[in-house]
Amino acid sequence: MSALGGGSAGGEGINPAASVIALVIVLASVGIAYVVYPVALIPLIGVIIGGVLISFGVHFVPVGGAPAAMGQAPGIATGVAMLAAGGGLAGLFGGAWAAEMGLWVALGAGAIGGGLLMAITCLMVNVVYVYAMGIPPAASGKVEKDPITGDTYDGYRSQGTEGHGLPFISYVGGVIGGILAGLGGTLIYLELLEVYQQALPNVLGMTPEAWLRLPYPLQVSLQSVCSL
Amino acid sequence: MAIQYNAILALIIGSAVAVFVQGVYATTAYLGRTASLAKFEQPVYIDILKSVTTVTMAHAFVAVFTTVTMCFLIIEALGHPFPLPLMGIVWGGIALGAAGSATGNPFYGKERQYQKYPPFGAGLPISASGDIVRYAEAGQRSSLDNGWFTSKGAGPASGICFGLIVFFELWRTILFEPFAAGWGGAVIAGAVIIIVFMVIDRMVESWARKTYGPYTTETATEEEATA
Repeated sequence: MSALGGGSAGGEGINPAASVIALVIVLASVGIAYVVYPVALIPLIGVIIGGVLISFGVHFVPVGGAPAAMGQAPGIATGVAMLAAGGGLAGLFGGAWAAEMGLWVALGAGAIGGGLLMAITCLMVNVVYVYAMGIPPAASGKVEKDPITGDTYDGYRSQGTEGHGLPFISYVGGVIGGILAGLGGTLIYLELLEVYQQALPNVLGMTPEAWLRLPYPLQVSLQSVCSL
Repeated sequence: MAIQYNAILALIIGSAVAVFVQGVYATTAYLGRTASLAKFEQPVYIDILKSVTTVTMAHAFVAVFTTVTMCFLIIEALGHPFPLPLMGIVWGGIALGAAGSATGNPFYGKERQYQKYPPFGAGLPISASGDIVRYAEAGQRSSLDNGWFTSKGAGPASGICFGLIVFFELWRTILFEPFAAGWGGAVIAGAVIIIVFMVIDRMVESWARKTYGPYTTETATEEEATA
């Protein structure tokens, strides 16, 4: 919503020409990877899937920005890039730790790590709104009532605002967004780790035997640095 | 670590460097915001530059030193595979940024200069968005007040938020990882913790709705009449 009364125009939907161009670029890059360096094909597809997951998860995160900070709109009062990166990297922290337990456990750990960050952040945001700012009950101006709890918003919303606070449905959305971002971030990290595990000894001009003689933490550190 | 320095000394030196970066950011953020919005004719309070900047830098030292020490301990004592700079980016740079930004930003939205219209606690009407306080109580109740307010409210809230994230992230992994081939700690314990926080959030929300209650119809029609 614009303060100048412009109103929300809504998105223009999916642009078909741009989508086709993007799809062609993706297919071309996959094809180039297949021809030039076939080992990297599966990791590349994993990275693409991880990117899609992160972009998809971003849309679930209830970001309100500066209007939320001033009590004009519901949501978390920060930027979406900050929260998505936080969820993804917190997930990656857990995922990297669980990497030796296998791909699926690491992915699950990463997803839950991202969701945990969002769950605690959203709770503390609500605590700040309710107990520190004294903003009355969470209310949204976009819908009449909460789809999960069935709370009505109409009488709780301050006059002339889009709503304020963090309604429960936004909380659930934030946790889902954090889970998707953590899942995508961990998937990208693990796939890149796999590539660098094979490629890094060559890049550094070492034989595989010399690489294996390095201390294990040093190996993992080098791979982690390159993957990030 | 790599050049055989004392680790504690290295942590202190690194935090001291970060303090000056924070001082530069604090000064340019305050002056830059006022200067770029010069059409609002907001005054620049020299008090803020002289007192708040130094306090902010001191707070930055505490925050950076504790965060970096925590990252150091996660690597050295708990054996996480990431190197220290990466760990600093993940925890200090991004996760602390996300938690601190989410819980701290509401406080800048409640600065004195945005407090012209609504009574405390109500949302600011969108039509009054740009109409901020410019001349009232000049110097008496400036953003300088926020130093007290944030140290009592936003600072602890951000700290508890970040501390809970770090604690539960490590706790679930270290305590429950051996169970169910990794699924126990990585996924099940984490999911249970998420559900517990979800229930607490619902309780906070219900408490607020019950305690503050809906706006009564009289005030609603009154505000509509004046608007």
